Amino acid sequence: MNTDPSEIRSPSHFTFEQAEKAKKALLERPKFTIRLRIILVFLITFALTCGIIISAMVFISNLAKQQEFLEKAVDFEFEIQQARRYEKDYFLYGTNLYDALNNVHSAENMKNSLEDKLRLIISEQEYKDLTYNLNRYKELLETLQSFSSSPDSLQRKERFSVESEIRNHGAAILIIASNAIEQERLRMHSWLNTSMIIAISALLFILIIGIMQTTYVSYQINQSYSRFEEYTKRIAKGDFSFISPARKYRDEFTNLAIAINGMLLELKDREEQLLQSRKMAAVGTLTAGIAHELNNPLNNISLITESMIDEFDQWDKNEKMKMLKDIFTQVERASATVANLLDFTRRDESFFNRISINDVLNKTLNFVANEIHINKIQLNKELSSNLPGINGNQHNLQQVFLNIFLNSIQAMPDGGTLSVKSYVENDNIRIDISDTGVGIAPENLEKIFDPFFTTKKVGEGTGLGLSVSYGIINQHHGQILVESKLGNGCLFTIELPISQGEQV
Amino acid sequence: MDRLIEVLVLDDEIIVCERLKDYLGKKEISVEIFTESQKALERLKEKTFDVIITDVKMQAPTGIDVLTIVKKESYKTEVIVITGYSSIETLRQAEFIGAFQFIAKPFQMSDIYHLVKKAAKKARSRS
Repeated sequence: MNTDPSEIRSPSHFTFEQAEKAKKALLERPKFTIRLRIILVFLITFALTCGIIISAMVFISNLAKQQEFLEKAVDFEFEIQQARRYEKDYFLYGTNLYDALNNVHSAENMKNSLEDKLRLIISEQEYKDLTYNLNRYKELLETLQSFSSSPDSLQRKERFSVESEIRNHGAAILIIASNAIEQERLRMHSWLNTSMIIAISALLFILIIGIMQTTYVSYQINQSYSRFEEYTKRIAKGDFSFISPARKYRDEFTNLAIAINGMLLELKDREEQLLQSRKMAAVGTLTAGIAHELNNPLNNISLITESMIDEFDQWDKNEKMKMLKDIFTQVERASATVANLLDFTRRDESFFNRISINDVLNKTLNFVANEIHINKIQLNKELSSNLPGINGNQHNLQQVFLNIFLNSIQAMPDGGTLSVKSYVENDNIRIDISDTGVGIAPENLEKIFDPFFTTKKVGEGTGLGLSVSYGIINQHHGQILVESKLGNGCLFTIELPISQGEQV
Repeated sequence: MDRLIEVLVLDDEIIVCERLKDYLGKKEISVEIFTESQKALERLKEKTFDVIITDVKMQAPTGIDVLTIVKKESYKTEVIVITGYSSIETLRQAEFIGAFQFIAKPFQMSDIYHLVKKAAKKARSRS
């Protein structure tokens, strides 16, 4: 193709710039990868677990200390009880006073070693009572001991009052001790109950965190996956617009998006090549018509010149002039056919201009006029005269209409009616192209825009015509729809928005 | 030749008709020209020509239709088929139906003249 190089360069240059822009937008977001997110969530969970385990350890050591205290308190109580038994023995039989004193001494030692803890459990007053009672009990026992060396000197009455005082103090000590033990036991019980609740709650908490984390991460990944699934579907349908950022942060999928954008750039290039080869294929289908269109004027010129050569001298000036004018008209006719053909096959896909849809339709209909004629098809044209111009690529749209026209013609081998209608509806220009041909089977209807889908015999159709058309209409931000019943003709509707971006 | 060869030319290109009428007319051949096949068929009901020269691609009835009708009606007429472009299939069809000769456009009138003479000779040899 000997087109001006700048003309070929600029469209691909333009898409390349778009690709770069998309890449920049994708990359300039702050990086927050899914890997980082997983690590972060793991660290949070780990920290929480650590906290729970450490508090459990602290709790257990506390419990051990309480257990220890409880044991000592019980020992203390035991010593006092023992002292009281010996004290009783003494009063009954006059023995064991020394043993009782021993027990009291060791109880006193225990009390001193437990002082800190005791003050926490029992009130200040109780502690004071305990100390007082214990001291008094000890003093009284010592008094008894000093009397025991001379038992007769102790008056019976005096001995009786010491006895009752000792009993009172002993009982008081035991009451305070058992009270403290009981309280500590209760405390331990409630502590244990709380710990059970805390353990279960911690378990539930970690479970919830785990579920949330899994849900979050899998949602992030799944969302991206389904987004990319949508992209592939969109691309398969011929929409080659670049992927732009969908999230605030850059992650693993960003690289995939950039790679797909690179692929799209390649695909756009291939698409242009494909479009070109489709055009050539369409021209191939039209060969008969084109040859006919060219051979007729050539034949006419040939016949006129042959006559002129034979009879040049016999003709007067007027006759010669008429013949020359006929030749001129025939040359124009042939060159119009050639120009039309070249115009159609020219490769400048990416340019959008202000175009008139009716013009495009008429030009395309001219192309197939011969086919329509030969196949005994009636053409029914209703083009609205007040259509606004739209931004579009004339040659690509021509390709779309040509594909549909040729399909319609092929669907009516025994003749029929081809209707072409253009009109404005809402903010769209609508083009309805219907035929009275064999129609499309319902099971094929949804597949007709798929690449390589064809119902024609091998070698007769590539199955690319309508898929290329779909892509072209997509590029124009329009849509192409089809309705058909088998045996009942077929209606293609194309919608093109009137107001659209400056350049696509 | 005892009488003039009678030829009917049918082509939707008026220049073809005019040129052939002019050229063959000067070679002592009687030529009637038609640009619409329907009218030509009507005329064929009235008169038997020696040779018919017809284009293939025309609005119905096409050249092939005309050929079929002529071959069914009259054994005394030969048909020369001219065409701008035709598929092999059409060529075979024309041959099968019994076209005398198939000529591709662009052609030369001198060739047509010789063909017409040969065809007329064949047509008349039948009667």
